[in-house]
Amino acid sequence: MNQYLSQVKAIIWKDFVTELKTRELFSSMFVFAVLVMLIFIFSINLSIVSASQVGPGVLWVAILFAGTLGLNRSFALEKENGCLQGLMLAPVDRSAIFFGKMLSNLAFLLIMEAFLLPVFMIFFNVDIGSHLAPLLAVIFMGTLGFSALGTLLSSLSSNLKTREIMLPILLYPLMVPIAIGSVQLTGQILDGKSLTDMMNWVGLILCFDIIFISASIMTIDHILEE
Amino acid sequence: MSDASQETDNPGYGLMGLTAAAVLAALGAIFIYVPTERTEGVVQRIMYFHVPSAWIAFFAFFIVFLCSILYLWKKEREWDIYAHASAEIGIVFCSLVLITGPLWAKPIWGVWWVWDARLTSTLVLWLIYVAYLMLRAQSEPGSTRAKYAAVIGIVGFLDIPLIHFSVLWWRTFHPDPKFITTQGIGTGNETSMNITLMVALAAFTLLYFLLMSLRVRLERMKDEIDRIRKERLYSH
Amino acid sequence: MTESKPSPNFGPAIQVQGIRKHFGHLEALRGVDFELRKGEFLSLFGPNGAGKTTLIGILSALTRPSSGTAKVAGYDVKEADPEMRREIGVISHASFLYADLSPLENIRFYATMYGVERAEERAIEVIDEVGLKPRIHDRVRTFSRGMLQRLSIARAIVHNPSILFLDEPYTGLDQHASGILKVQLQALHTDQRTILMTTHDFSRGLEMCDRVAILVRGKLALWKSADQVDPADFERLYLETVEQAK
Repeated sequence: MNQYLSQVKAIIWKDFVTELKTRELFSSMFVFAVLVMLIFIFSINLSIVSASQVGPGVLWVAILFAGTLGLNRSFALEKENGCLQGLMLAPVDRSAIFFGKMLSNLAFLLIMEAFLLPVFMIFFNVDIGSHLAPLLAVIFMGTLGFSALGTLLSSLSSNLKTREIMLPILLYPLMVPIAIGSVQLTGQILDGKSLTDMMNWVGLILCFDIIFISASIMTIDHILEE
Repeated sequence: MSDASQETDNPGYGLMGLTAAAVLAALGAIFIYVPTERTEGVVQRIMYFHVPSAWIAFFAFFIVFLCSILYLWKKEREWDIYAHASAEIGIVFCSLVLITGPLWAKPIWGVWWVWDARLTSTLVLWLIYVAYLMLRAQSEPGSTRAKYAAVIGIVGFLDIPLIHFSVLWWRTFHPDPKFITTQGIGTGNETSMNITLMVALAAFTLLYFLLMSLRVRLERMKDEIDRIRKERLYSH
Repeated sequence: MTESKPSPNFGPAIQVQGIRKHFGHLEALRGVDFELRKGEFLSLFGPNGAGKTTLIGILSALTRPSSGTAKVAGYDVKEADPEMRREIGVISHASFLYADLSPLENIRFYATMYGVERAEERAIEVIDEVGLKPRIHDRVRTFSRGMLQRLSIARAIVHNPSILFLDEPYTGLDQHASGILKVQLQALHTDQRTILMTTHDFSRGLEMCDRVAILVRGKLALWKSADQVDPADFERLYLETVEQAK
């Protein structure tokens, strides 16, 4: 168990060191997310629609799109020089590889979101300070589900010739529950409602997280083995 | 599945005959036997295609799910063939649902598309299994493709209840649209509607098994041709 | 040194029986049998597509055989026992190294994955062994092909495996680099490690092996003791064997 944890930690650590050295992933994800928000703002007439109504949707679209960039890169990194194969040679449980990659994807996304939220607040002129705790909880739950399913699918799509195209095509329809749920919850929270009034959505997203983390652990062996 | 696993030298004329009879019976029931619904008129008859198509699509994806699990467990090509065939058939019927839905909606509500829970879920389902087939089309034949497809087949089906509830609750936050419910079933004042729907369901189910057996046979033939070609290639 | 981790039995280091592997309808391996004792060095020759890489993939438990059994260090490869993985080191033409990390970070990472104790010290030790200590903090991306290959030796031996698989290690190396690689392989061989190397380079392959084998179209077409093979005449023997087996 100790060995397992130190392996997961080593994978996360490796991804962080790589990111600290190259600074490629974070900057491209963040800039892309801001651009997505900007494009949506241009396409919506904010004098007709209220910002707090469309804001959550735009925020989550930005997160999902930017997250896809990160996922695409995550396993591309492992493919360069055949590193994934080297990793597979080691006495490491395949689920440890999954958890390591999932947690580093999750961490990168959460950091990116931490920077994105102030931008969102300014662009849409919404006050998030008063509902920060439930908002962060919702963002965490949604991002967790996205990272779990996204890591599973990017481990799969990274072996395809058309990986950059196939990842979103596979991922987005499966992400519908998270997309709808997170947008609904974020919207309600910004309207000042309490999270306890929307336990059905919270339950749905938690179910998503649990189901797809479990499904990933059960199937990752088959994806990673040759 | 027993129909689908029939030997290649037996094209399953029995099943074919049975399906033909059932389809004829269903057509008879839909267009001759069942009286025209009073409020919606003749267009309501589309329900007898719409509902069975939805049932078959769902059933087909369930078979994909089962065969995907069996494939990952047993690693036998058979299960991969079944999953593939069932996904293709599922997509065909899922497309039929998405076509007949708007056709039915337009004369009744005056719009082609309503973001109703059932129709929206079906659309998402359609996208998932189109992605599944794209994944298959884009990877080389072999065990890797089969494994990847199986993972999507499993993950996709597990997602269905979540999609269903998310889309359902999503709609309830908005002004109530006119829902497509299965208003024909049970609430119809005539039992003839029920009988017709049952006959149609039976005919579609038989059609599914017939298509499965044909598609599986085709895939096996492809395998055989591939094998013979490889053998010839090696022996020269 | 290699006996520090005893295997469950003291039989041959590698035992392969009737291994077959097919990808779809393509048969990469069509029944391979051989045995390699501890400390033996096998050079495996064969044309492209003969199944050499597939064989190494199976023996290192990356690929599952379609049928047949293979035991490495006494473990069945189908079980993919973690203890078996600890006995195996693989050097391939891909380096398995993260280009943006330094040698130290790379090797320490792999040491951690193998559960090596005092990972940092051990990493420095093996990097020193392959003569890359001066560049221990540089980015691997800046390394030449020869340095990469040396670093991948360090990666492969960081957990002190008793069995090494080398998949065309000489590919893409200049004379100087392949000279250094040779010296290092010799050191590994005298350490009593069991080595299986595939190569297209006859002289490199023959210069230190105990066994010579030729794999053609997924079958062993030749298996000889090294002293039965005349290096000067090997090219003719190789071409004849390949021609006959086809």
